[in-house]
Amino acid sequence: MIMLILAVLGFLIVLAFLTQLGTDSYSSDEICKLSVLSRATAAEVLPGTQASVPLQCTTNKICLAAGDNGACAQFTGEKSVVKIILPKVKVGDSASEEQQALQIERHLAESMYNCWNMMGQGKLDIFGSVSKELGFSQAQSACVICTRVAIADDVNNSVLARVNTEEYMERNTVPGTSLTYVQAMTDGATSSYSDFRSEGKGKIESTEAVQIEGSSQKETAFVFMQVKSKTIGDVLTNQLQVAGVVAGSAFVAKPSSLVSAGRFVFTPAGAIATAVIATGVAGTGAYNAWQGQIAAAGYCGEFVSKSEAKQGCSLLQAIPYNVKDIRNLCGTIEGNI
Amino acid sequence: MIGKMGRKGEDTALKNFVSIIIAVIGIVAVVYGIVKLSSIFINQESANAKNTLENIAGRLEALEAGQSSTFLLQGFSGADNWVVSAWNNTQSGRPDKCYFKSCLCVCPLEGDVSESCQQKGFCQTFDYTGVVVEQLTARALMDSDLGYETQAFLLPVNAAECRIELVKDSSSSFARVQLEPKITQHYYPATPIS
Repeated sequence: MIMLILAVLGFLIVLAFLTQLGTDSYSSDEICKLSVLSRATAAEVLPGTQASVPLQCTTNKICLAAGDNGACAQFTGEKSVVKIILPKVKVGDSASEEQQALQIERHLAESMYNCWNMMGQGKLDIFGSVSKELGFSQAQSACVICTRVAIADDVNNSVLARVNTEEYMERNTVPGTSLTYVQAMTDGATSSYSDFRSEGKGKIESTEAVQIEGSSQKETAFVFMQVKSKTIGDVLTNQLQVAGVVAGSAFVAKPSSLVSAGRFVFTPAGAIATAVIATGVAGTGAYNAWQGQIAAAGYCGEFVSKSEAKQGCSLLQAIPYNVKDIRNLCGTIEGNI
Repeated sequence: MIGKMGRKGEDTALKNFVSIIIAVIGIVAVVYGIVKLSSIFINQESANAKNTLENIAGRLEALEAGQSSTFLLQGFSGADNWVVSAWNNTQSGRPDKCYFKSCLCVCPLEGDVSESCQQKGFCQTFDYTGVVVEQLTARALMDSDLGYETQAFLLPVNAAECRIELVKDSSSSFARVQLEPKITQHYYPATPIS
């Protein structure tokens, strides 16, 4: 009897929480985080109910502008765009350019960290057991586009050339903590980006070549991707050896390694692991530098899950917001536009 | 003896009654929860479909005559349950909610497109004489597939390139929405805009 009463009370409490979702009581990031936790734990409590819990994550749209008149054409016609005015730059003043670049780095690093945090730092099984019900196979990847960051047309290329998010994340601490962004995203396991260039340590049979290209737009999407499979273990082991990280731990990847031969990435079609062709990024100079801000953080190993297929990989990657790159990474996209 | 048995029976009946009441409350709560959850899910899909339409319409409205623009149409869970379609201002069989204007609609994939758009879909009207939606992919649903005159195209579950163009000459103007690059062109003769 007491158990029954407790069960009913518990259910009503959960229900009360769920009915709060979508109201103004929570910020969109909080709603997302709560829905991720709800979905991940739903399968634990009642197997098969994961698909019933909607992922309430809305893509944040951030426009970084140098002045009030700066506009992000990338967001034309779209709603809920947050415009952030960067510190002013004096012509020919490298110190002010550096300051503006620093602010861009900060926003990119925060977007990446917030997304990683919202998604349970990659350790929660968010899509796995719902994959079939949602219409895609388990080996196919599912994504959430956490944030789109666009650079307004009034931001100078000379400023973008100074942007180095990777270095910023290695040197600066997350507000309110004593850990750097890199440490915070890897549970303190590492303080610098893993070097994926040590080719030959492990070998992955490449099934398909994927090419990551630059985009003509200065817009970056922070995409969280997860892929899960029953037979992913061996591939993972090899991949982690190449990456120089330990299975079951989080890692961060050098942006430059994403365009170097031998780097392994995930694809939406086949479990994981295909070699990236080293064709480099389109464009030169400042544009190249901006495109170089393709950073990645990941977790490979066992998820917190009761499902049969526990192993998989989560990857948070900053990629150019274009059809080709999104399709290369994501079999399907969840969350709100 | 009889009194004791009667009291015992009353106790048992009371316990059963309480159990039944709690069970009923529990069942009602569970059913309410399921309905609530499913409504959140359905609303989410519907809201995403509406946002997709607003994104396309917003970009169309930002175009000047003769201009074109290409952007990424972001997918969402359940996007393949929705189609995008359009009608020009003189075309028959348009959803009533388009009134006497050209319109672009995103509607659930069920039965007659026009009816679906009228009942559960989202439409945006334009002052152009026509709005054309085109697509050339394996996912395109052609007239014959649907069995209706209207062309309707599935929304993407991951991402699709969307090209929009505002064509205008001395006598007419129309907006062209292409969900994937298409080679052939359509021409919709229409009455001039006043």
